[in-house]
Amino acid sequence: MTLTTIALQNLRRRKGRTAFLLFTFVLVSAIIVCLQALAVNLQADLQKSLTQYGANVIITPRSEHLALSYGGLAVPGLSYEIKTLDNSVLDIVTRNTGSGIQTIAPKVIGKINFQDKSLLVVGVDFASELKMKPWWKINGKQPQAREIVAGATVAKQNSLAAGSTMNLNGLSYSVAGIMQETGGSEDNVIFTDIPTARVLTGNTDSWSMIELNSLRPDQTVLRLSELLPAAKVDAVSQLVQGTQESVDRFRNYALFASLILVLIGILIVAVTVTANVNNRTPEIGILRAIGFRKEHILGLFLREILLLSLSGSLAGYVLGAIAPPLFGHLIFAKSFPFHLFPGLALLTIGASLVLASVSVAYPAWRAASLDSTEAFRYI
Amino acid sequence: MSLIKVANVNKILGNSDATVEVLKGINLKVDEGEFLALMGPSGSGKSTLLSILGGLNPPSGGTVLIDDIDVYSLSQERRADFRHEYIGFVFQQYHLIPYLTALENVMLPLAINALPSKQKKEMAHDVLKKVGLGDKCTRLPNQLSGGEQNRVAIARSIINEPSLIFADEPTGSLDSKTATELLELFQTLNRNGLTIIMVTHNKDNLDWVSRTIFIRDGRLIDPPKVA
Amino acid sequence: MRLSQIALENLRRRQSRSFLLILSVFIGVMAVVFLLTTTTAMKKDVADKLDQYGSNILILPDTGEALTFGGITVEAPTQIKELDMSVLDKMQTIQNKDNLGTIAPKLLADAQINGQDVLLLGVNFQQELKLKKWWKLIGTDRFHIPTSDQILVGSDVASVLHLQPAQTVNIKGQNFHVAGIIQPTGSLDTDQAIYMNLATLQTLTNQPQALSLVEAAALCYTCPIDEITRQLTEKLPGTKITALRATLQSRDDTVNRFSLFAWSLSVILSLASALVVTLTLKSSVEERTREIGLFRAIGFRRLHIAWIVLAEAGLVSLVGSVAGAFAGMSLAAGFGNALAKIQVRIAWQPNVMIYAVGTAFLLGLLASIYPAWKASRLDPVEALRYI
Ligand SMILES: Nc1ncnc2c1ncn2[C@@H]1O[C@H](COP(=O)(O)OP(=O)(O)O)[C@@H](O)[C@H]1O
Ligand SMILES: [Mg+2]
Repeated sequence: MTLTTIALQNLRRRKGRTAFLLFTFVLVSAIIVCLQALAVNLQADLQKSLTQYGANVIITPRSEHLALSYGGLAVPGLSYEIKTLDNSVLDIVTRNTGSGIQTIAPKVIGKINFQDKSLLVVGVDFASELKMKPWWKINGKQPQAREIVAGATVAKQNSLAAGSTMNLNGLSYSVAGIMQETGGSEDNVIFTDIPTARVLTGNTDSWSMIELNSLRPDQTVLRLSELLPAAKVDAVSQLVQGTQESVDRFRNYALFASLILVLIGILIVAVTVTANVNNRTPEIGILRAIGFRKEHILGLFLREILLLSLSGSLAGYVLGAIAPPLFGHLIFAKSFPFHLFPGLALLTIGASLVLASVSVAYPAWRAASLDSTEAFRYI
Repeated sequence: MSLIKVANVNKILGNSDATVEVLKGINLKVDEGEFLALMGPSGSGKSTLLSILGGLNPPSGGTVLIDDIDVYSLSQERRADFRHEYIGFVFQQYHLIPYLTALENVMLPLAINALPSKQKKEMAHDVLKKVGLGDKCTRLPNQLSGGEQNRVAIARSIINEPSLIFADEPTGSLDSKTATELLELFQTLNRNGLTIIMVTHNKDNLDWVSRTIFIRDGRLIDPPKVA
Repeated sequence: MRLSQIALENLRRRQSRSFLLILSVFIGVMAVVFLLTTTTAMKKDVADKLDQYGSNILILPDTGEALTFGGITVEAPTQIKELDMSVLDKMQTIQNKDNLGTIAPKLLADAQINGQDVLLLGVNFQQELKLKKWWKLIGTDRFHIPTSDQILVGSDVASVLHLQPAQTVNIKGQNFHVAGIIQPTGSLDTDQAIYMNLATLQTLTNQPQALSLVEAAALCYTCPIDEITRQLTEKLPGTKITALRATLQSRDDTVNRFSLFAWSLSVILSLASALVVTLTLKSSVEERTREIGLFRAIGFRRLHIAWIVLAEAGLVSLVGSVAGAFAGMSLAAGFGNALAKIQVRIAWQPNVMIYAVGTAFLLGLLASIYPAWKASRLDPVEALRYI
């Protein structure tokens, strides 16, 4: 018989108490690890979806003249010079997607007359555009050749609906769909696919602008600026910065929540362990009467609690790490990849060992400092 | 040469608003090899005195010398070592550890000795046999009768081969046959050189002891005249 | 001696045990109340911050838009209709005016500088800088509001006109100091304009009341944007009011993700706290199996035991949870803002407190009655053997 035997027998024979303590350790560490797994996953998710959202790099022709428009309004009475990007620009971009470019959306923009008014025609690659701009919602279908999609305001002003036809440059085009109001310049234009737009606008071999979506917009801008000295390549800082801010905010938020949770976990473990030791004050009195020194008592209680906290936090870590991959899809409608979190595992287990030792040491020391007769009197 | 010298010991118990002087000016000498009985009515302070003698409960005043060592001038830790080395204690309520078997309870004082596990087990087994419980080694305290628990407590008190045993009403819950066996055991131990101080109620027990002292209302008194 | 007295005495005598029991309940309830409250505030804070990151409502005259797409202008109308300053006052008359976070009016004009036609934008700098949080300025910082003789210059304008911070430019006969250059934003609208004080531009162009358009950021946490545009349309005839879907969708996306995280956090924490309260009280009654055996031995009925245990558990969970709810709420109201770095004020929410207290109380009772019932079913002798 050694102190270890005594510790083991206590854990073995008082199953209820052992289970309760063990459960506390499992619960606290599982929650902390599980939350961390959730936070890491959701943050990666947020970053990914925000980055894929919208055109975050834009390539426009360089011009010595400045535009005189803002928010869809333009200074009246001035003529606007239209510059374009060389056809080779798109080739260069397509060949250099290494900087994180995900989607390339080139555009042909031109003016056309319709019933004595000017209309703006925008030729786009619908697949790329819709991938980048989830707020484009087309009532109807995607246009084929010689079909168009009308912006909301254009459709309203000309009483267009899916299925109606438009006579443009002497040819008739059918309206495949109407784009729901976006509040942006989309509302005032008609969209076609690129070949149709080239026919309509007469622009046969150049691009008006190219929008890109990149995972690493800053890198893309650097790289393309080098390759395309004649074009203006800029990151759309509203999007790039906004994504960064949202992701940072999420990280702070998750950190705050984890800190609070860790604090609560510490309190719960400390209270539970202290209560357990307090209940065993008479036992400590017996051991003292038999001649156990304080260090023996501490040794005994530390053995018990270290065993419990080690196995409890280990089990908790495993539970917390596998719970999101196993059950995440039931709640979040997305799958969670399994992460190992080795740092977090070490931290959780280490912290729970330290915390358990500290919370056991104080009440055990206090109880061992009582004279035996007093300890027996403890109820 | 006295093994125990008690001088002017008193003990005040209670909380701040009601204190009781449980022991008043106790003076006592016990020689090595004595088998001493402490008698007195219930509530007279027997258990309190015994725990003070056993180094478990500091007196409010006075000194307790055992083997010329002033027990309560020792630090708490030194006193623990002292108990471990010199003293075996049998409590009135036995105070066994509920989650340890009879054998393990007996072995308990050895848990902090550096002996091979096997030897500890053998020693505990021998002692349990001595108190007649050789066949109940694996029982938990709550599976033992009061008398059996009592004997486990006695076995635990002698396993470390102390030179002093304090026993608080060890025969209190025993029938006369078992009580006699226990007293015989004590007598044997006493003949082997152990000093024993035993609290008892029972006048029959006095046949076995070498000396009896009486306590009433916290004072040692002369033996009452036989009524 | 009544039964409830036994319960009370037990709590009173075993002070440290009672204290720790109450403390467990206290921590659980405090944690839930604190986190639920700050989390809700945080969601609103995130929504508000996103809503005020750029505009989500645009107010334009109802005719005269240019042929322009993605900042590329093909043709301008021969003349445009203008709004006037009364629009701003009318905006304040809508029912949900408190949801209008930032209102940034603008006047467009053009000027010739060194032979170049340049767009001048008269703005309210304070509102503009609040809206365009992504602007990086060279020569000044975001918190300095340019004065009426200072201008901010778009990056393209700066490079075409070779402008540097602190330089002086003559615009329409008046000298202006370049307070700062706006780093490229990828938006031609921003990069190719000069920003100046609205009133200054109005005077300079002799149109003291004119406005071209208004950008606004509506706080949509409590009121959907379509409702706000509807109310604005009602009050502002002759204008075209549109909600910018591009920003709205990603805003919703982000807010939803925060909500989801907050929701899972609350669920996990509430469950955990419920478990802590339950198990603590359950194990505290289990420890008293012997006592219950004793009560049974002296002839107490099961109902008597239930009463003793429930009285005790009820008191413990009530005291713990009421104190916890108050502590959690005070912490949230007092320090939640600072701790979570949020601007939204956290108000006392009595309903959260009531739910938390009610749940803890019920759980406490349920958790203690089960082991008590189990213990009282044991034979007294067996119960007395409990270790
Ligand atoms: N903690 C205490 N506080 C106050 N009085 C006590 C305390 N412990 C014991 N007593 C009183 O001290 C007296 C002696 O007790 P004890 O030594 O146990 O008597 P006994 O002779 O029956 O063993 C009794 O009257 C008892 O009521
Ligand atoms: Mg006694």
